Amino acid sequence: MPPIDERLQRDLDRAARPSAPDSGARFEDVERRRARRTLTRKVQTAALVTVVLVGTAAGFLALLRNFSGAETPATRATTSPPTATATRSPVVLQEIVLPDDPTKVISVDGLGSPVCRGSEIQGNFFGGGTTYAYVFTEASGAGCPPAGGGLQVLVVVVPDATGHSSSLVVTGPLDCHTADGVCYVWADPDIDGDGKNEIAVVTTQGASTMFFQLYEVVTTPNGWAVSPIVAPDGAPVSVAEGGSVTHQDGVNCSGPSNSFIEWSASLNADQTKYLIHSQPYRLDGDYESGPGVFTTSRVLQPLTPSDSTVDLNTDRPMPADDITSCGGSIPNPPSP
Amino acid sequence: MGPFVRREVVERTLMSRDVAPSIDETTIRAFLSGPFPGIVAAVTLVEGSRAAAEDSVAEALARAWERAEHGEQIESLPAWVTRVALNLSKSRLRRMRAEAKARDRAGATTYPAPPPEDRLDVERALATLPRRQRQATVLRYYLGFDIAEIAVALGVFEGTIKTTLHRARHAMAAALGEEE
Repeated sequence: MPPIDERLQRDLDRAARPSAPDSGARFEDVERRRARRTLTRKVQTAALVTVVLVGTAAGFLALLRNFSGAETPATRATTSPPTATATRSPVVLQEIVLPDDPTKVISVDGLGSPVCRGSEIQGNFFGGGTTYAYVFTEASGAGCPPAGGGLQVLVVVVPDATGHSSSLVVTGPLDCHTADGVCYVWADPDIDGDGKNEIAVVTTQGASTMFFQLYEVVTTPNGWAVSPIVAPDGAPVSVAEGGSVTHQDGVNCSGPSNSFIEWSASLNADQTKYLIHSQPYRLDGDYESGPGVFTTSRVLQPLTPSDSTVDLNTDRPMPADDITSCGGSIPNPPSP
Repeated sequence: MGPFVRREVVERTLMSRDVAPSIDETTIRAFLSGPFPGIVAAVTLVEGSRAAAEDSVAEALARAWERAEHGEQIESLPAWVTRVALNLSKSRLRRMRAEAKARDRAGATTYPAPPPEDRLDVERALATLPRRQRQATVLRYYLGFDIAEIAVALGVFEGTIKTTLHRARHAMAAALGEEE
């Protein structure tokens, strides 16, 4: 066996510290976790079944209402003259005007409580034209809570059921760990190239690195909804961006279509090159995975990763760190 | 316990699974007293946090049990648990790191943390590898997985694992001053 193989086996064996088997307490812990997951799955299934049933019933009623009077009576002597086809003008969605003072509390029609500390971006989030997305902090009777206090939610303006007016869809609470504890809408990429922008929300921001989550507006049997894009483990994806001299993270859409690349670069020990790990992800599939079958969220699927190096003594560039290569723009860059 | 002894533990668990294909209480207890400590140690070597590793492996095992109850076939419980635990641990540590960074907003960048002095050379060298190389190295040299098993556990092609291990081995040899 080559010396390095022998050394790795021996030293890793010394370095590892296996825990003592403790089947009793550990088994109870695993059993409790399994029971909790089983319960969660049942609740999710029940909720999904309810959504599908209610949606089916609502759709049936809507069709019944629309078509119940369409049948021409047989005794009718004359037919109506043809009418000109009505042209439906694109719906103009109502923008929520944010006050200059972020701590000023405002009331928004369609939200259950007053809000403050809003951030806003525009984008084609529902596929039918420009609309608006916001992160708000819920206010109370005592006014706007201190930064980082109070629940924070993502709100998107969408067409209402008639298609002629505005309505709101909301998701949250957001788990915010930014410098001031306030999440904000950051960018509007279109990773899967379907013409609809996703909403990138910055949820964590440290000294040099930030993490954003991706949300999208989707159709459900009950109308529009805003839903997180999740990792294969079911948790909302959290993508790193930024960094320092010793470690950098970035994203770009220079890979295959429907995908984006998250890369991570670490400076080696002698500070001569960056070791770069690139992890591409694919975002495809549909929120409606089959007729009448709706998933709760679309999953970002990891593709085969790759590793490379960038020598600091050469001109070879680092991978691009540019979310706008996925489409959209960055209306709200992070504060320095 | 060397890698090949651990490998026997894994194989015994696989054999017992062949006798009773579904995952039940007996399988879980056997897993806890068999491969569990080794997989916790392996995830700790990759991610550096013992607490996160224990939590991730327990959570992964609970998920396997719950999924098996719903009829999902899990071919190799140790490989499945290892894979899910590594993913869970990565997400958890990322959140923890982000939270720590958010708290440390006075300006000083603390990432990556310098290796503690009491770490062994191999731990320090391992910490400089990219994540995928760390994972492959630990699965190969600590858990004794072969190429095919590592590919299944990490969800990538065998060719990718060969390349990854080659680079990891080269980097570790250089860092430890060993011949390849």
